[in-house]
Amino acid sequence: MIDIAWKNMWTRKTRTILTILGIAVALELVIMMTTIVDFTESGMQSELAKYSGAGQIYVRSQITAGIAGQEFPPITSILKEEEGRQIIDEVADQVDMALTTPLFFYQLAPPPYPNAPLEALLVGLEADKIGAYVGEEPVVKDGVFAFSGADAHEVILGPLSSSFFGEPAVGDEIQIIGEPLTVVGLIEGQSLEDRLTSNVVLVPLETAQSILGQSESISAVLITSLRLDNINALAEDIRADHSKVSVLTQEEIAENLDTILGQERMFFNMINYTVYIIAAVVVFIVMVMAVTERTKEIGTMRAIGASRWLVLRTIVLEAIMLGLMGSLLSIPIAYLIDMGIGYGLREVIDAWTLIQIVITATILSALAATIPALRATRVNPIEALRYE
Amino acid sequence: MNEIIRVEGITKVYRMDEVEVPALRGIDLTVEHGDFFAIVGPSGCGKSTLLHLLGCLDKPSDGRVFFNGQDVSILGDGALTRIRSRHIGLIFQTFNLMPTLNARENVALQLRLAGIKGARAVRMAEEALEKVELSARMKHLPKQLSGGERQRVAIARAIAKKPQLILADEPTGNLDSKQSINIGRLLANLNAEGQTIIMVTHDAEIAANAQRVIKMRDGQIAE
Repeated sequence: MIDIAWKNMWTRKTRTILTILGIAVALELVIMMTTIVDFTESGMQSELAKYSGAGQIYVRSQITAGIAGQEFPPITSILKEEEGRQIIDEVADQVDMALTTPLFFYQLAPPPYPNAPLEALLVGLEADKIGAYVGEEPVVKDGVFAFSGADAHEVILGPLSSSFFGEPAVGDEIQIIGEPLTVVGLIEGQSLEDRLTSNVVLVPLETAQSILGQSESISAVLITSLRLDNINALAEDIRADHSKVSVLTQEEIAENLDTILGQERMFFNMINYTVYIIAAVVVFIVMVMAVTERTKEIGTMRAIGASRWLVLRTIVLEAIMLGLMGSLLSIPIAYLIDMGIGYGLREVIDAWTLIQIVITATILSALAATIPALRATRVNPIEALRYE
Repeated sequence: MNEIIRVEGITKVYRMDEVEVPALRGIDLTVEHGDFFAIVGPSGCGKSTLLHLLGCLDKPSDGRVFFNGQDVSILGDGALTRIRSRHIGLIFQTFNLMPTLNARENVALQLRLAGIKGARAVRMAEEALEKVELSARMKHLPKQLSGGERQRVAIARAIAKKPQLILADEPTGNLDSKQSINIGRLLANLNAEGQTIIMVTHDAEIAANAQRVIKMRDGQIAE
């Protein structure tokens, strides 16, 4: 009966095309959202992997229970630099001093969407310890990965923050809170990958403090333990000696990041589920209309010998074809929109994700058509034959 | 046994809100192979209700309907649908063709429902359309055909599967007099070839083509 279902669709071309377009546009959004989540998740996992084994501890101001515990990086934290340096001195014999530094964080640009990383994050750190925050030394696209001095007015930009500042070249000056800084390095990377490093605006600690007029303050202390098996003991020592600070081990940071990621996933999934429901409702409405319009045809089919099952199959088949065509069309639409936006998602869209979206949309279309199709099977042929 | 359909004491009562409206009040009728009956009578006398019961489209409130000796008044929807699809051809006043299918596809659809598939269904559909002299119009959609042509497609649909019984409900009700005469002749010719036909009509001229005219009044056979 696929030919009959196809002819029903073909005869009502305008409605069919609009329905397919409606489904396609809705599912294009699902493709974009799913890909962003997958991409962000893989970026974060690679970031976590980068840190694993680094044996790092963050010391920050005390966490307000329940809220700031999920904050990473700790941009709302404020510590006295003196206290931070004292902590470093106390554990100096157990840590890698080349990768241990006070840090200064400041939000330069908010996240582009809820729970996303900040678009631009000022990170002040000791000039000779840049690698401590960004993990292993990143690939530098242009310039150097170093500052010329402890108070140099120089900046190294991540790919996302570079985009925020209008893609400056090495040697260009950019304004940060009214202060001119010279770009000395640009970190290579894709805009959505390297979640923790793509948005960084790295400046020497003293410069950051001076720009923000907080020469005695820092946000946190980053400590890199010499021995991996010593991290928890080290964290406990700091907690015991400094009751007014919070100490986050690598494991706790990973948990925090996972929580953030979970929230992000939930946010996007909510949108995805809503979009799926919208697509299903579109199919439902169209099929209800189709069944209502075709009461006489369905009644005739029943009268001349079509079983209830065959009528149900024809209606559901029509919905399946609408869902299938709409979901397949959503793929090129997603590609075109991505080309327009320039996110580069088309290079990383996972074929299995697309297959899942097409299958889900097709199944949902079939389910959405079930109620109108069941209604069609209850059409009384005698009543339908009287129907004018 | 030459009997194709037999009804014994059938009644049909419709319930409209709280009121019971009797449509048939005890009908007995036997139709044999090769018969051509015309059922006539005023509007509301129960002609179409009787036709629906004979065509296994409905069940009686009381009494029994036998099709080929089998009591069909106790069968479920699936079994009745199978009988309709294989053994009964239906012709309607408003033609009831599928608007999205051309003449040949409309006829072939009935054959597919009867279990005849593929090239054989197409060949039989073409033969049926040839019989009603519509070979030249088989690729036309119903909207591209005149009323008389549409009814001939509907007749081709009804006869294509070579049913044991053809039921026609006011087959000329929507046609002008010339087309009505043609359809009447066509049905008479089919009967002459051995086709069993029961037709409900208002038109005395069309009814005159039948071997026997049954007059109904107030849900009963008057004569």
